[in-house]
Amino acid sequence: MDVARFMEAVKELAIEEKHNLVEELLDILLSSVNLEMVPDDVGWRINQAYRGGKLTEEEILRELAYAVSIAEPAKFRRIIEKLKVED
Amino acid sequence: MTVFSVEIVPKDPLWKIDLLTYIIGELGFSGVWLSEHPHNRSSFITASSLLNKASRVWVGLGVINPYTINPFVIAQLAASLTEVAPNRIKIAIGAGDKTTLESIGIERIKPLEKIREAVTIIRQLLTKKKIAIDRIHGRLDFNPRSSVPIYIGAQGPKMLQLGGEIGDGVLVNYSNPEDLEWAYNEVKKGIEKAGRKIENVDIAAYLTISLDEEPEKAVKTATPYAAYILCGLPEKIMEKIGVSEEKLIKVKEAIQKGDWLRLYDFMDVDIVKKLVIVGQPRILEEKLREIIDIGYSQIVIGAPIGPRILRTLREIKKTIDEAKRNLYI
Repeated sequence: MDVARFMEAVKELAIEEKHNLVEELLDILLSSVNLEMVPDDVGWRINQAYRGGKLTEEEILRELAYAVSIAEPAKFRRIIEKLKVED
Repeated sequence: MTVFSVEIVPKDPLWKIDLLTYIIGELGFSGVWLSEHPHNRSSFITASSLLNKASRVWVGLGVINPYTINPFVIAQLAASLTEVAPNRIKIAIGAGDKTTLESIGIERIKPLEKIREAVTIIRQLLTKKKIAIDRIHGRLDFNPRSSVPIYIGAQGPKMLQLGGEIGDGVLVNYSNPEDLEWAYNEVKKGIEKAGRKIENVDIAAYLTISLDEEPEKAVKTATPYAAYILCGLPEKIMEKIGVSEEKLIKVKEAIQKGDWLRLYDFMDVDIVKKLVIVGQPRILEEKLREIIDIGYSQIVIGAPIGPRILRTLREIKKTIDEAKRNLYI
């Protein structure tokens, strides 16, 4: 549910804002101590997308948001609050 | 010229370690040191996977412990890795910390002799493909595709001297410039004893770093790492830090039980600051200058690096580039 709200809010962002957001999400994910909770196939798709410069593409961004939402739910909620997402 | 590398602890999934290695290469660091610990993923298996894809960086495995992995097997694994990535493998050998070894049922007997013997076996197998010393006889039935520099991971004075005497490099596990200067001079004694030239030994400061704009977050991230370091310190440094025997026992117990929350009760901020480069990112430049002035030829940006790893790595690289411009290193 949170991921769907997040994706809705991201549509409104300018390209630069989107890039900054992706960088922040990636930093939270790579800094997490809960990565055993993230499915390996999701992790590898994020890995490949970074290498290919495709992290801002919708499907990958959804996976990145999903990974952060399960590894760091509190931080993910704060990001959503920052985006001022409404229910 | 000073070489800069980064430590990665293989406690996280391979997809993350692989991505972090890619980013480290992208940022322009020369190499990655994969730490080895029985609780984490195998550094050899991890290295094999990384080296297949990462072409920009070398990978060091260290510190490999000959009490947990037989030196013959270390040589076999290192030689196998040269086929994956010739000239991009380094290994570091060390006696490890007593607490961890005891917790997995291994007695750490005569560490200096153990390391000297392990290095002899590994080096002979990697260079001559056979070994025959005392009770040990054996061979490799395949050719290592390149040489593999052997570093010694060291903290105590005798191990530091041994590193200078027999190592292609030495990983010096301190972060405080004062301790690093003392350790450098111990390595030099070993180099002089063996009649070697200092420029032929890569002396690396293996720093433990935790940086963040909010220093208290940096301290929190650094605390478990500082606790591990504390448990392995030689007497001389332990005395200087002023940790009571009672406190040390409590820290060791918490580590053995993996009770990280209790560690925060015993590990004062002052102790953490003596063992780790911790604080805001701007403190790093001055520390780097001091460490380079001592003579270290490699600086390892060691874990945890900071509570926000990506942002901190990018800041550290900027600081290094700035230092390189100012110091012409």
